Amino acid sequence: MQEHELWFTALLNDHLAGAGNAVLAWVGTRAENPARPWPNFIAMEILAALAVIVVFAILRPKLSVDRPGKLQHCFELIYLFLRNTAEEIMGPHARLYLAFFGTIFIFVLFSNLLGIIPTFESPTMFPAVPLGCALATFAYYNLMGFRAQGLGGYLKHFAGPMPLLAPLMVPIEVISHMSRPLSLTIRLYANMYAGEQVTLAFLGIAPLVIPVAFMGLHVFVAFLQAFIFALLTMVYVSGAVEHEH
Amino acid sequence: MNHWIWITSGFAMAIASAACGLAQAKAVAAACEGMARNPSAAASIRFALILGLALIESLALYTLVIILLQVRAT
Repeated sequence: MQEHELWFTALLNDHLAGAGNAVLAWVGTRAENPARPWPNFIAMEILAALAVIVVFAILRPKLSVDRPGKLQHCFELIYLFLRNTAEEIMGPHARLYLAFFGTIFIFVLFSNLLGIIPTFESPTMFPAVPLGCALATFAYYNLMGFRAQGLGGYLKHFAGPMPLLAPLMVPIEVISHMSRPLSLTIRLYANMYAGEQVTLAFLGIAPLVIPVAFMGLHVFVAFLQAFIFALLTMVYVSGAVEHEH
Repeated sequence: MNHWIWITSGFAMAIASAACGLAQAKAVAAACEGMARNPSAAASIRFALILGLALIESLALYTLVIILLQVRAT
């Protein structure tokens, strides 16, 4: 199923094909078409990351305590929203982990919204990108659990409240932990993919005004799914580092 | 050429969406009643409502993903 190449992907393929092939060779695979190794979703993902970096690079020198500007107000709102949600879920220790929650939220939000702009596509529309975010979350909350409670202490929580129940609880806990990255991936991927497909379907039926309603729904769902991803990350991290003090 | 996939995918998605609709209706009804009884707790009820709705929605979307995988495989 050959996808149409976006102009940004074509730009990367024209000028950086050698670098793309080198990276693929470094991890041991080859591109399907070595003349044009960059797929759409990698190019869009890089664009989303660059957008986040540029926005924060513009924001950082403009931060000021006395005379905050509009951009600072906007990001203060986002920061306070994330911090209040995290403190509501995790308690006062939320500050330690807020950096990761904010990164995940803003990256997923920018990735989702990138698809609304006409010549771009959401990287989260391809299954690999939500999988990457979900695996990062999985690795993060397990690492934070190990760091907060020690290697044995964290693994002991899989056994449940009583040692007698351990043979029953351990498989259930392991399966439920394994299902977390799967559900995060599928939720984000399916929401973004279905949103675009519904808009395309209605563009085929009634090209003029009706698809706007579905694009509006897609924008709302983009915000909501980014928030839900960050929220579930907070819930998983709080579950991993609780029982502390 | 397995043509049953087109019929079963329609039924499967319809059943999943119907169940999702019923579940979300219950969640919204409980949230509205809670907000009506205790307007000062409206913010946290709204938060729990949004979380619950997104999780229920994702169950219907799992069905959609299975359908997409099967359609792509035929």
